[in-house]
Amino acid sequence: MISLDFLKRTDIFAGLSDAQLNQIMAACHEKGYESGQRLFAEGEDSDRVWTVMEGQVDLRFDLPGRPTSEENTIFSITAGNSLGWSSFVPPFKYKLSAYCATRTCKMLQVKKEYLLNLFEKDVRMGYQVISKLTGVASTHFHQLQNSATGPPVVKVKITVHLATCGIAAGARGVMNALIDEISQADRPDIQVGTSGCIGRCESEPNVTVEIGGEDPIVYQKMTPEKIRQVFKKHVLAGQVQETFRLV
Amino acid sequence: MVSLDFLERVEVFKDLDDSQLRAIQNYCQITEFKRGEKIFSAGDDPLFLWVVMQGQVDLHWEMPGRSAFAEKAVSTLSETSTFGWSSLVPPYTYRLSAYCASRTCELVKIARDDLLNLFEDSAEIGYKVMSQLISVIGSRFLNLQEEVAKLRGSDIMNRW
Repeated sequence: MISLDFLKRTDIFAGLSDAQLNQIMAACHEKGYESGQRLFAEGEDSDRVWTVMEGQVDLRFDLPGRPTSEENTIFSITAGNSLGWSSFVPPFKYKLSAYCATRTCKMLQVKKEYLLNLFEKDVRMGYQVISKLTGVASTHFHQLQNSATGPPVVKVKITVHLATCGIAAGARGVMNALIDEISQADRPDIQVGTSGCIGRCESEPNVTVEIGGEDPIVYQKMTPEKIRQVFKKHVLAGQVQETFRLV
Repeated sequence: MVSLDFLERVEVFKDLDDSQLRAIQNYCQITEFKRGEKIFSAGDDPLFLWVVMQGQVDLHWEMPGRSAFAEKAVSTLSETSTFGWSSLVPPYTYRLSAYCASRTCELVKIARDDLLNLFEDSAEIGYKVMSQLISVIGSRFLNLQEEVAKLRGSDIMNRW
């Protein structure tokens, strides 16, 4: 539920008086999204400001003719932070696409037209909010700049080798435990895939972990308990579990 | 002395009336640079907002550890264009370096503190200027996006 306390903690409405916040709150709407759901697409009409109430939203630069991908995420926005400054900038079109990046996201929306009417009556409020929104636009500009010149975002790929030999050795149980761990970790940047036998049937079930540009690590004789340990220690904490490693 | 006729053509001052433009005019200083001279460096404390009066200014990415791509000019600005807008928004650090890119450049510089104090005294001026400034940033965002799209497009081609 939207409250004055929440509005006071947001990046664009912080610093306003309670009376001013009450006026804004009167026009706020709340909307929920599921993991992977798109909030808006680049090029669509931008007519409102959004603030994340719960969860995380990824802003992606989707390339024409290519499916969306986490690799195209320019930056992520968490609770209290806002997007949709393009609603104040001609030609009033979204400049990036936004996706819910956690299991669920809860968003606050305020229509630009409503805000402009408020700002006409209370120009000091207009100055304060537009200044903050300009700061958000500036931050996003620099994040786009960094995405072009900085190091690539670390991505994790986990492959469970699910050939007949692997399944016979218990690979399905390993996969189930892995999915369970990932869902609890709430890490949308982790990709899980399956593939065939790696030719070392005696060491099945095998799991390969690839983090960013590092060399892949193949684990052997995985069990649900062992894969949970690999996930917590290697994937989340960066410590390769040498005792399970296939050499 | 910077004329009101010039100031009203400056992108961030477009909506101001004459009395508001006069208030800005009081804080304008004219300064000159020669070709290749650095106007400011990325990372500097942004003490001024700048406007090109005459000549051309190139903005470069020069952050330490950045790739060669970062070395190219991301924007070339001509008469009435504003730059150094990091002076008015957090975290108040120049993110690009600015160079004079023509034989000479004549620039208007306005002290950040003077502008912010003026905005506090007259919220209407602040509101109008910041409303234009967000449009300037939006326009630069689109230019940058095109550069990034070209870069990513060439990355994809190189992987083939």
